[in-house]
Amino acid sequence: MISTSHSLHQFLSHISSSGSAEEWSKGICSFVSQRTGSSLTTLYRVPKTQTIRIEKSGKLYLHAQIGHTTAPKNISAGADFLQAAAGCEGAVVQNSPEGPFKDLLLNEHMESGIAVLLYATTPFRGLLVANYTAPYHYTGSSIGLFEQIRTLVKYTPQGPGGKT
Amino acid sequence: MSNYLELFASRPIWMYISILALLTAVVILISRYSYLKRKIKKEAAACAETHPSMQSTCTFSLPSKTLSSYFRQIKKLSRRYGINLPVLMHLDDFWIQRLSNRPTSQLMRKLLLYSPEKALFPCFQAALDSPKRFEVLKDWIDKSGEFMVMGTIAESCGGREFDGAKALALIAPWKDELYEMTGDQRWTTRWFALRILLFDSSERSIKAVWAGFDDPSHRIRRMMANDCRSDNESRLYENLQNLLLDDPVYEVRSTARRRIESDFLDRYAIPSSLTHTQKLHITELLNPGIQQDREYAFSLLDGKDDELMLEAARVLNRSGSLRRLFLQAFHEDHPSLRRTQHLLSNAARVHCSDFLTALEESSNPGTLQVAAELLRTYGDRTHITTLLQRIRSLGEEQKKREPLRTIYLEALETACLRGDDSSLALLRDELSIRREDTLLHTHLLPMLPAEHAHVYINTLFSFLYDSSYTAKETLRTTLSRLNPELTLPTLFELIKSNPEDVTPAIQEQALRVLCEIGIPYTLQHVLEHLPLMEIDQASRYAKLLSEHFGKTFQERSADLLKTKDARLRSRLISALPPQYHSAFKSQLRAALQDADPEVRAACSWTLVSSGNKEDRSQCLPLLHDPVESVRISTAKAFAVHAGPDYFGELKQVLESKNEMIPVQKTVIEGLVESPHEESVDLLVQQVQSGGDLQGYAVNALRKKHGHKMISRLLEHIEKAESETRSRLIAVVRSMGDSAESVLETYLFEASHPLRSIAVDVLESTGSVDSRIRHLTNRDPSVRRDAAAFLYNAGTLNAYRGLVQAARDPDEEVRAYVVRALDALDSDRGRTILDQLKNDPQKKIRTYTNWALERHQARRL
Repeated sequence: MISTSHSLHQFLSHISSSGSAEEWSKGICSFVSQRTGSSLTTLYRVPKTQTIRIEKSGKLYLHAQIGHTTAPKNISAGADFLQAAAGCEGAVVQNSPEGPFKDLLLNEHMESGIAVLLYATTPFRGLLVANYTAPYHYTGSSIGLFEQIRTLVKYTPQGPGGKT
Repeated sequence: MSNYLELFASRPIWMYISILALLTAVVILISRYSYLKRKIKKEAAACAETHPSMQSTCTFSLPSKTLSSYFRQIKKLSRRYGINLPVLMHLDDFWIQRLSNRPTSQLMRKLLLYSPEKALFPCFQAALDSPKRFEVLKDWIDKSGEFMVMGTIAESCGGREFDGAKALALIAPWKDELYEMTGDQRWTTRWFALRILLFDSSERSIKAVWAGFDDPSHRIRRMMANDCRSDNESRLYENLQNLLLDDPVYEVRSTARRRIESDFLDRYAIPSSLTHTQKLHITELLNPGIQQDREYAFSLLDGKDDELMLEAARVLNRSGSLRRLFLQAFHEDHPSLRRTQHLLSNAARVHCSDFLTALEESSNPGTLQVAAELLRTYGDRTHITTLLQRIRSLGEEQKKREPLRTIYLEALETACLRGDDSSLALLRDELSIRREDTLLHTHLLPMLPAEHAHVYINTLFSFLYDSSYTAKETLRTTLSRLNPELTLPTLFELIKSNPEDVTPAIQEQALRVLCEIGIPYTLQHVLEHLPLMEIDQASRYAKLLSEHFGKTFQERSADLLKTKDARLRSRLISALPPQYHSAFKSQLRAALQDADPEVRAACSWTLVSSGNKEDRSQCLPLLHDPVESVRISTAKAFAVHAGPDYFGELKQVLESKNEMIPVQKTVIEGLVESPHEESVDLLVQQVQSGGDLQGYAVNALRKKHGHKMISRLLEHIEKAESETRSRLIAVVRSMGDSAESVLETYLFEASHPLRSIAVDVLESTGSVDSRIRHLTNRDPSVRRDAAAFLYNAGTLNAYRGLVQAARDPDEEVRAYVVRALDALDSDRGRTILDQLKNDPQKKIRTYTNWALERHQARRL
């Protein structure tokens, strides 16, 4: 459903181009929103003061958003889905409101969600979250896409300009 | 007249005696004077009559002193006969001697008149102390008409010492002549001139003196080094240093060295770059009292040049520095000890090892260690005795514990390697006292020198007699390599002694030594005494003898098999090496029917072990022999050697209710040694059937840790019912690491039929738990191996442990975690994940949920 090296190539050229941090974040959200058909795509920023493994007491702040519904301004770093994403170094999925990671659904209208931690050196480390209003929206392909994005961001030699 | 008589009578008688004595003395003196005068005249006349060329051989009977007192007469006779009588009478020598003691102008005149050539220098010396005498000399010089008068004096001087400073003041008129003399070809002339010019401060003299440092004569260079004075101290020091470093004559160098030490110690410094010869020159004259010299000597001792090392070692030895270094060695400071050893070894290598005498006054462990090391190669061997006395005086505890244990052993090793009779006697006593120290004996006995065996041979035999002595094998090897002259008589005596005198154990040991010596003329003794040995020992030594003696062994064995003695025949049959079985086949088969059970038992063992099917078949009836010992021997032989074709027979023995337990037990023990996998089947059957033999069978299975055997056992575990299965798993568990390594190989073979049972067994033996604990090891490679093991084990317990390593810093470990979790995306994995959902640890639950949600998403 989602795939093609062509789209990833586009994504790669986006994340390696210079520009502001906002543009970089928006570009990622836009790409993900388009490829997954998500209702709400957000990118939360991990403060620089936090360690790579995400301190449970800290918070992540909303940095970019695609979608018309509301997203919380910040997310607790102690959220289970975030700890799982950090500990297992993979995408976290929840396809129904009854799932184990309730915080992954950013508002009450959302019924499925997917998230991955991006370990970019610049401009910042962030949490990419996508939600959809119906259950069972995200599949193995979505997981594959999110983990590919994570890998590309991590290993792209030249990141965005770093202006925050 | 009467008046005269009265006067004569009135005087005391003593007066007349005195007058008479005086008159007699006068008469005697006059007579002697006349006599001597005539004698001198006569001898002078005789001398004058001889040919002039023979006059030097004229002999005069009167001593020089007497002749000297008749000088006036001698002077007259000289003039009369026209010969130089004072010289012919050697009066000049007498006068020269007198001049040196009591110089007088008159004596000088006489000498200069009669013997100027010989007496010129003594007169010159006498003139230096008195202006009046100098006038006499000057007067003679003026009258002599000599052209080079100083040269004449110099020639007379011949390089003898005189006071140049005094001479300088007196010879002013002839000073120019001195300058000319510095260029003379004769060294005596140059020496005389420079001896005087040394004290002159004129520029011309100074120039001549500096040139004296390069004079071809070593006597002059030596004089320069000793006496030269100058305001230009730098130049003087430089010249002295050049003499010290470069002069080829030792006397000159040593004089320069003394002069530097006495006048220029503040300037003294050893140049950094020197040629090899210069180093040698400076080293031979180093003064150990000067720190700089000591340091330099140590630096040379640390070098690689033996020639310099020798000089340095001699200096340091003379000063006692090596002795101090030796005495102060500290055994706990290893770098310092190594350096001390290195320096002292170098010194000892060039034969400067006097410092070793300090051993007599020191028990310092460092000193002992250095000595033990050095004396292995260098130094007087008598010091080894002192060394051993020292280490023997160490306390018992010190001898057993490090670091002194090592020193103690090294010293004893040194005695073995290079000791003389007296040190080896001490070593012998130490071994005798410490005979319970097995490590000491196994270490030292092989090192004992065979050429000194006469010192310790009796002690070695005392160890052989001692039943509690534990290093018997080493002892036998040691005895066997000694000269047979020393060992054979005692060994034969021991073997042939009555049992009440010598125990069989000692006899066996003696026989074993005899075998190991391996000399042909002992063969018969050894074979006849084989019954002294246990069967396995007898087999071993029979093999050894057959290798040594071949055909003779076969012939002697054949003869002995024909003898009556059952004990000897049975032991010989048992011990026969396999290559001789075919040669003795007929005798062996016949012996199966022998009346003596011991012979039958030995035959069955030998024939079954030979591997021939026909032989084995002939032995089968012995499984039912009326004598138990025969049945035991036969059953064991079949179990160990025969293989699966005969296991049916053995099974019958094991299942027979009429058979004795010892026989059945022997079968089980034999099966332990069997190389065939089917032996495991037979043993497992015994475990399954229970009864008295179950325990023996379980124990036997525990000893079969080979890969094939464990695989076979796993096949049985897979199929066995619960009780037997748990018994067999307990067997594998008790095998420990050996079984675990076999089981692990199955773990990594995904399709192997025994994999699952191997995993079960590994889990039950605690291997999985052990590997989970390895996940916290600081070494990443250990954690990786553990993660790989757990991932491949794939059990709930393994995955539970592995999931905890999800945040391991090592990527490879984490990769195993993810693969483990992904692997759970299966029906079996789903079950495990469902169990992990209720894990008491939140982290595990969280990760499990993460995995479950992903699996669900993948299935959409």
